[in-house]
Amino acid sequence: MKRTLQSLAIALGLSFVSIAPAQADATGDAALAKVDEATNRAKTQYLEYEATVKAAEKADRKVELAVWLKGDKRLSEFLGPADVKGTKVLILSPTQMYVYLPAFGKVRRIASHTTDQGFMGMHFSQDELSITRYAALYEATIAKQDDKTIDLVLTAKKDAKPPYPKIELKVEKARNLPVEMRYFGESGKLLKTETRGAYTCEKDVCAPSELSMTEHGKAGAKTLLNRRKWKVNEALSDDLFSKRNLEK
Amino acid sequence: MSLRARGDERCRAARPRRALVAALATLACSSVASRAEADEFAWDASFRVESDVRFRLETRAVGDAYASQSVIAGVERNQNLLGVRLEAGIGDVKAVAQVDGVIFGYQTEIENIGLLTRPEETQPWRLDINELYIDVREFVFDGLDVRLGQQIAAFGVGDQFNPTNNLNPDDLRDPLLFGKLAGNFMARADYWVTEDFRLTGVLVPLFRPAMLPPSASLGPAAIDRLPFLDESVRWRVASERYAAESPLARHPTQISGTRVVLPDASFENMQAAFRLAGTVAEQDVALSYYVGRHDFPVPIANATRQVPGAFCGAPSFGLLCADGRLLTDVTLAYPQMHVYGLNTSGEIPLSFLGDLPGLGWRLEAALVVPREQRISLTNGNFDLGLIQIPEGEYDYDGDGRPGGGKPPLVVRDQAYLKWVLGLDYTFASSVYVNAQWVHGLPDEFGAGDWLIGDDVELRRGTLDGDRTGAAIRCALPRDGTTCIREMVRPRQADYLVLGVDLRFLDDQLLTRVFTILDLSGYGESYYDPELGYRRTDHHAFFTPEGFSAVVYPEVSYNFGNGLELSSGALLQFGKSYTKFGDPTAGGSVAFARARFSL
Repeated sequence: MKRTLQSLAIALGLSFVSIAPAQADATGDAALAKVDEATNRAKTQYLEYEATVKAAEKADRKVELAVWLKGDKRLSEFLGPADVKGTKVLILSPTQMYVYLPAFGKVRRIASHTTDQGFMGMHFSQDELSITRYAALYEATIAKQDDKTIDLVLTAKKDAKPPYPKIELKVEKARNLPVEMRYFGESGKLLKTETRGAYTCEKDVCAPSELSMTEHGKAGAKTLLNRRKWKVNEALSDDLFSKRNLEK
Repeated sequence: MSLRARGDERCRAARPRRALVAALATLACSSVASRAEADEFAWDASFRVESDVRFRLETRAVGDAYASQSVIAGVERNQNLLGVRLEAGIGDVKAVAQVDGVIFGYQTEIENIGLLTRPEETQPWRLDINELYIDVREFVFDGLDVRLGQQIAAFGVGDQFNPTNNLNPDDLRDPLLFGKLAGNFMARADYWVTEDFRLTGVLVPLFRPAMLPPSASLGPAAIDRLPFLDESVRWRVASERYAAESPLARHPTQISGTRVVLPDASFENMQAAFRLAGTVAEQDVALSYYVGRHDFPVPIANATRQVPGAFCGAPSFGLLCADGRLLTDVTLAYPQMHVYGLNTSGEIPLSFLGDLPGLGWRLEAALVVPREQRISLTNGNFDLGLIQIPEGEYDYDGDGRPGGGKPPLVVRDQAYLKWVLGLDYTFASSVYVNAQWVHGLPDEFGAGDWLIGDDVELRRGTLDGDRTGAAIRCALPRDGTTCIREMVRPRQADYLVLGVDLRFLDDQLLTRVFTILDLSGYGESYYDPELGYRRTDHHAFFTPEGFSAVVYPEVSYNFGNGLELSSGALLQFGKSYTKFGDPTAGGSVAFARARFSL
């Protein structure tokens, strides 16, 4: 019964895409559209992460995982700790997901409600990481800008149902890279702050190698993600994103 | 990184699906390096150490004044396990071994002092080879995967209850691992027609039976649970047994031995399965067929002999004494069956209720067509005082001549259904709920439920009145109708399985409660002298007589570094004739466990 394991993989699988060279724009929506364009440029990606989960008065915990991305398809595999090693999650669509649990030797269909589950206390969740295209969900206004950054305030579009009604997004102006996201709840309270930094690029595709998520209201609650490997636009067979591959 | 992940990353991208294309692509793309890398030897290993101590909370006994078996309150098991999983491969070929070495329990009796020099006597251990196979991908044809060796083929989508998982035997040695399958040698081939659809064929040359829990050894003491489907035969045999115990005969019946007959290693006895699985409109669907055997044995022969000589029961029963015994040797075998399976699972959207994620659902159904199985009853020469019975076969039709009529059925060749219908959902991120309606547990075999068939499973047979009366009223006239009171249940019963997971302390603390509630209730069948015929009173599942349930609470803490500590209890409730109150189910246990994976 380790089906909760997939949530982290889902989250990571839906995010951490790359960013491209910047163009200035006068309106917030246009600036946001550029962020979307830049963050959805890679055709395929392979990433390996080491996550460090921090909590007050507790020892740090480590989680390692690998993620393969191709279009809407994602495959994640836990590499550690040992008790979850070998667990794989395949996402073919938001409503078609599978988990392979080595202890059971079986591929199990999982439903999208499981994306609400946490995993080992990690503070990244499906809610914030599933947003790959902000412009579809939010309207943007420019709060301020200088030579290096633009601060956008994103508010939910009328008919959209985004996980957060408001996000403050700080964008690196030169390359349209998001560097900080502040997530607010219905009451306007700041719930989480995410940072993305130490970007590296392969041609026109960039991705952060260091990420963090701080959960406000829980003292010391923070998760750090360090990227260990990254491959962009290498050929990944569709076979990789199949139930057949999960069982192997 | 695991072996498979490495192979996929490096190699699959350059691997076309069709042979002709493969040749061209090998020339066209610069995959030489990838192939070379993918064909490198790679291996992976993981280990698990587990220590488990359990306490049985109550003594459970089966039997009567003359013969009883019990499992006592105290240490139920203390086992330590080393699990090793090794994978090694080159390119598309992989070998896998998963082996558990278990040091378990102790023995209360050692036959002679010389055996004290043998460590396996004072510290029993066993080796479970769960998987030991070779896997070849793209074998001869593109899309064809072959796996040979000791393996587990689990196709069912149900959680822990899988009526379509018949290729591997159930491993019930540890009730906390309910639903576990034991490895078995088989040859399996999967042909992937597309990425979504596959055909699977499996051949299992040798049958392997289910492995039962230690408490199953109590079963033979429950001699009142006669397996005959024909109730008139059941009542007659039961009344004759009570008559033999009466002061007129003073010969109680006991099971002296059980012999389990495995199928011959013939071509006809090989098991096979075929399966077509795919995805339609994002819902997974699979159809399957299995031919083989039920992995729980049923009795096929009872041979009873009279053993003269004074015999007294256990002191705890008041030192009842008899002039002799009727000892029965039981032969058990595994009945043949065909199983047609349907597995389907998917997601029910709840977006019409608001911004809610989908609800998981799964249905696993099996149409089981068993082969008829009868039981032969034979006896030696009986001299029970008033009654003399010559050696030979039982007088099945009660016409006074031995051997008349057909041996009674224990399994009817009537098709029946088993199924699991499950739903699961997560509330508020940390509350996971899993509910399943299970129709028929793995050990339940044969038609008889609210859908198909009237056959029942006898759970307890007792005598109305005294034994001498039974001899006169029922045994001598060969009609037990008025003497025997029975507690019965459907042969395929219904259960509600409900599980809830609650997570705390940043997901490190898991509190889990699983329950199994027997919904079918129990029928009490007896002769009503006022009415002049037998009647059956139904005791619903919510009544004290019909209630039977399992409650399995567990708390575990995951330290995040591979170490997990857990503690809990498996609590079984119900009268002794019920499914879970049955002493052969092992009784309630409490446990504590430490597990470290590396």
